Amino acid sequence: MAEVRLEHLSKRFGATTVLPDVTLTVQDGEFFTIVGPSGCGKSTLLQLLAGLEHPTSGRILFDGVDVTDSEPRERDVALVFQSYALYPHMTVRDNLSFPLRVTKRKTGLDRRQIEGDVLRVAGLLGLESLLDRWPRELSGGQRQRVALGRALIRQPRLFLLDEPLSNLDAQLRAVMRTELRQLHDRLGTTMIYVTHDQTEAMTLADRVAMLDRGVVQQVGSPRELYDQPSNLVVARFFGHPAINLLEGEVRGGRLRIDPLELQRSAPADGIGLPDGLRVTVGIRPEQVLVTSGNRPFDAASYGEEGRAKGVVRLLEYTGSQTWVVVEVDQSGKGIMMIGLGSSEDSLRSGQPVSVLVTRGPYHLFDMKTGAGLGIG
Amino acid sequence: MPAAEANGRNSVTWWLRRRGLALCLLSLAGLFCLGPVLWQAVTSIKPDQDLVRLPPIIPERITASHYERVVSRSSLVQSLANSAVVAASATALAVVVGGLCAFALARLPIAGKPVLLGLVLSTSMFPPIAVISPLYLVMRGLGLRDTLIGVGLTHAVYALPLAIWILTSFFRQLPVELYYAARVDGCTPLRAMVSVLLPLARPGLAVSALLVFIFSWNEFMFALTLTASDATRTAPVAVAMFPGLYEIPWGDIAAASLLVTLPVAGLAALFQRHIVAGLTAGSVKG
Repeated sequence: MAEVRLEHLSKRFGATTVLPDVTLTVQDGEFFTIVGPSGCGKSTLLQLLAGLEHPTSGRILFDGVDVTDSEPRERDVALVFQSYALYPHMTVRDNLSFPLRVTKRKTGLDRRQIEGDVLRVAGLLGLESLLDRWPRELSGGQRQRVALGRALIRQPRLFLLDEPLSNLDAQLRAVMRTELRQLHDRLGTTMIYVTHDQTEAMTLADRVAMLDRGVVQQVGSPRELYDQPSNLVVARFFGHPAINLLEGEVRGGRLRIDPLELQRSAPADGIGLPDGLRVTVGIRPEQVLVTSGNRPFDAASYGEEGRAKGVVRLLEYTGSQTWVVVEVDQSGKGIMMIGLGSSEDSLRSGQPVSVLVTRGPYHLFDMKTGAGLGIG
Repeated sequence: MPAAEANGRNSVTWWLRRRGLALCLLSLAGLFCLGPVLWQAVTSIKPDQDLVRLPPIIPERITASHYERVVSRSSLVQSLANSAVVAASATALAVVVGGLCAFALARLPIAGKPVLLGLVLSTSMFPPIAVISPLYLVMRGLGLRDTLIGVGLTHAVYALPLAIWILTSFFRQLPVELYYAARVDGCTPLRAMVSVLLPLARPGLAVSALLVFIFSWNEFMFALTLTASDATRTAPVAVAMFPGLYEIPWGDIAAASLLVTLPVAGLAALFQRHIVAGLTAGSVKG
């Protein structure tokens, strides 16, 4: 178990800077996810943590001890790869025992102890019947388990997981996600989990770091990142469907959002914004209700704040809900909003509808920099 | 005439018509390559007095006397043994050293890898004749002139670029995650190479070993320059020593050549598919 601290870590490959300056602390025993679009530097970060790459500058500390210049094998970390990276020329048993066999001289384990550990891990992951199989004879899920087992067997102080579930089909991924979280809770070992999938990041993690172009945008609990995104990048990345972003303006201490007949004091938390400031307003889809025009809404009970007229462009039926994409602007600018369809309505594409924006909070961002301005 | 109709009537004509040109070209190429070998084979079984007469191309009388004479000559048998020792040790050396170099070039963080690989390749671009005098002096200085070690060492060095190139591309083909996994699992770079990369690069090892072996077995000029006695001459050199002052024993030379070629030709035929795979490794992402 370990607390992991990164101090001003940077990594350049030739002329490309992958990570300009990362400072981050992962608590001991935490399930920490690093999430971001592909190419944001998250895999590089993991390789720096594992010691497979050396940082251009900065320090890495495990439990306060500087490991920046340590070899991978001195760090006592385990790494699970997206491609599993099972050794094709070894059986499952040999794959699992490999980390122990390699370090035999140092740890002084004998063959009986190693076999005991193999059986323990195999039992933990349900691999008992597969021990004499070859990796090529396993299904994707089984391979994933073996890869996990190979990481577990050494009882390392830190787990690094590099998109370990993205090669599995959706159903299996959900199952493995639960298992992984349970495993973490049972072992209590610090886990750093890298993914591009916001759902994985949100559901698994104690805390999430959102990384974009090598820069940590925000660190916090999944709820914090969703409810209080510190900037536009974070707001856009989390949530499915994606957040609605509309142009607005502060005028006389009040917020005006162009296509909506919406007027409210801005910002709600009382910090004054200068008059005439152009802002981007983020409204989560679940704060937007779409209803057919002929069915009058009881505005008060929904906490209606504003409304607009529009035309249905797309319906996305998910079973429990229907998301409706509405073109709200009649001036031909083609502003789209996505919201919840009312369950009593049967909406069709092309149908004229009303869009109701329910009570806030809305997220305000500086239109130029994308920086968060608080909640409106 | 439509093809289908022709097919119904006479499939051989139809086949010839379709494949005729390819067949012609292939036979020509085959004849070009195998012609000299066939000629040697024919020569090796002709009696001495028929050797310089033409026709007949196909000998009317055949004899095994050339083979008998060649095999009973101790110098050829000795030279075959020498060749085996030289080729085997050159192969072992080139594959071990080449494997280590290739691993370093493929996986270790070394600056200027493309330049290094280019330099390695450039060494094999010198024609042997250009390096032969300095090489001779070096070997004499080391006291390795007229020793099997000298010849083996030279062959290993000359074959090393080939081995490095083949093995580098084989190592690079292996997913880098496997190497990373081994490192994180507790391996030193060397252990990762031995336990994980080498077993997976076995086809590459086999191919480079085979190519080095064939090169060393056939190599003539270095062996000729560096050896001076029957105790060290390799097979190609020994065969070249057959001509006497007043006569050239064509039949014996032909028989000896075939005997010398046979082992490597057999090896090449056996591993043909792997050799092609080895030489094209890395050229197409597999």
